[in-house]
Amino acid sequence: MRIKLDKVTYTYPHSRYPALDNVSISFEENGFVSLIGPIGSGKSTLLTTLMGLVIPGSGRVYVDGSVMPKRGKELREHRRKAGMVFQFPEMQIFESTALREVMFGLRNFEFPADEIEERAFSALDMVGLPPHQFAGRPPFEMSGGEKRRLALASILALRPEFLLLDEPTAGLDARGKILLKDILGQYQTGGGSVILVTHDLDLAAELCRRVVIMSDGRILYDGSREVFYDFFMMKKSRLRPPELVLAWENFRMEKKVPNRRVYSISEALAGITNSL
Amino acid sequence: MISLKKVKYSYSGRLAVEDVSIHFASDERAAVMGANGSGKSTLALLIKGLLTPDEGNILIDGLPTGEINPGKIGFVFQNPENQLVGATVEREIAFGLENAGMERRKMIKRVDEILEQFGLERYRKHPPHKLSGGQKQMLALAAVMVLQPQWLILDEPSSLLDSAAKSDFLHLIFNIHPKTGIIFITQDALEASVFPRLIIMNQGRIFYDGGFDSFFKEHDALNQAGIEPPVRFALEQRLAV
Ligand SMILES: Nc1ncnc2c1ncn2[C@@H]1O[C@H](COP(=O)(O)OP(=O)(O)OP(=O)(O)O)[C@@H](O)[C@H]1O
Ligand SMILES: Nc1ncnc2c1ncn2[C@@H]1O[C@H](COP(=O)(O)OP(=O)(O)O)[C@@H](O)[C@H]1O
Ligand SMILES: [Mg+2]
Ligand SMILES: [Mg+2]
Repeated sequence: MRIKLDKVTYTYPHSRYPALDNVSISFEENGFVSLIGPIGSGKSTLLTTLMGLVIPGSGRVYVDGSVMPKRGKELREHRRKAGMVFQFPEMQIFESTALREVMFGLRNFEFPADEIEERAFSALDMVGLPPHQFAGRPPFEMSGGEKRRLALASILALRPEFLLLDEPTAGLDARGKILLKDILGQYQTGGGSVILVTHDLDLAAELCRRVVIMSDGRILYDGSREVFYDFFMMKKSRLRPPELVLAWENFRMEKKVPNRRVYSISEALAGITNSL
Repeated sequence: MISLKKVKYSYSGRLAVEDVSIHFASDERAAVMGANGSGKSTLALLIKGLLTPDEGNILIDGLPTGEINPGKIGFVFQNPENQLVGATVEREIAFGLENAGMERRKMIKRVDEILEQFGLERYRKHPPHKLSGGQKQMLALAAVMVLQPQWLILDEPSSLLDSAAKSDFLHLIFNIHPKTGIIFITQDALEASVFPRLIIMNQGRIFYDGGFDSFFKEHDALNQAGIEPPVRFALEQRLAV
């Protein structure tokens, strides 16, 4: 699936400032993109626009070349193919147990009955909520990180072509982050597309070759992750470069390692071993 | 001084906190880390008096949690949406001051100051539920700090902030009232590293209580508690091997 925004401007009702200001951008099939920017820069608004949850005041949104449907069967079909995990997991959790929660979307989109249970159980497992422990658990009796995992599971169970994640690692512990990285890795191999909104720029650098930076409702940068080494651009975006990049640049200066760019701890270690 | 003695708590039969004995001096600043479900929020809710221990006891300056002035402990929930009730951002901040009977002119001045310190002036007339996630977290803290509590108990209060906003956030809690005691729950080891005391929870118990550096040198302990060291540590550690 491809989604394209053409000169989209959107101002929330009663707000004085546009949350999206003349945004043109396109997201291609099998792309892995991180969407970053300071708080309030319009990241979540852009994601909801891609889901057809927000209708732009001006400009157009296209899905595979056709205008984004506003309602009805077509919009429903779009939301089956594109799945979004919201910034606050509580926004999407309604059911009385974790298992029902994951099954809700599957039923709603009319997946075959015999598939529903299998998909739900495997999604719970995938996010580290073992069904024997969590299937019958009411979501309001779960910890913050557990609810985040549940919200992820209920979208992953649908295996959407296009996965939109709004701060998925907020509140996740280290194991949860590793699980998420694995899941996204499999996603990429399977041909899926991901837009990852995150303040964890180390995660963004490791997972996504393409980076989009927003600021005050505008796209400030859209290009390669090399931007993480462009300290001028990072500063202009009011962002602190990934910790790995800072540590690596320090190390490089001290040890006179040849100039190359690394995006994960394992790449950094390989870079060091090769230069010795 | 906050002291917990042999505290135990279960949610309808499911153990969440067990055998926790710990003290915090009145101006102490401590970070709390631990895996999902390890009991951090439960511990915070117990200290705030929103949950009552099944066993053991909790004293705040010598008094049981039920007997202290609730304004003594400022609390920010893991989900800030649980505590934002005002019609607008400025009303949210003024609310507690009004309740405390502050004189109007003084109150307006105080609200203006806080809005500026927290970078929220632009949103003063905005309904809180229509802010971005990070702005909600900023507001939740502002509304609590304006009341100048003796203690701040903050449950992952900055998880939706970018790194620049995170440093502003730490600066605000450390400097607006430098004598405030702080208990700060976080999954971000870099953030935890600026606190003089680190507490790690694991399966409902205190797993570690001490300085930051010594814990992050313990590879096995890190793994056991499911905690990721800051990137810099991770690099240095692996290089040393
Ligand atoms: N309201 C509740 N009712 C029943 N069980 C709960 C409730 N809240 C949490 N639990 C359970 O209690 C244990 C401790 O949860 P707690 O919320 O204290 O963990 P936490 O360390 O804050 O986790 P996280 O990092 O995910 O926020 C977990 O097993 C959790 O599933
Ligand atoms: N429901 C809403 N109503 C009015 N304004 C909103 C709403 N949601 C967000 N905003 C405003 O729109 C801007 C962009 O918000 P958002 O897209 O949530 O930012 P980000 O996700 O980058 O933090 C912010 O100034 C925010 O205050
Ligand atoms: Mg957002
Ligand atoms: Mg918690």
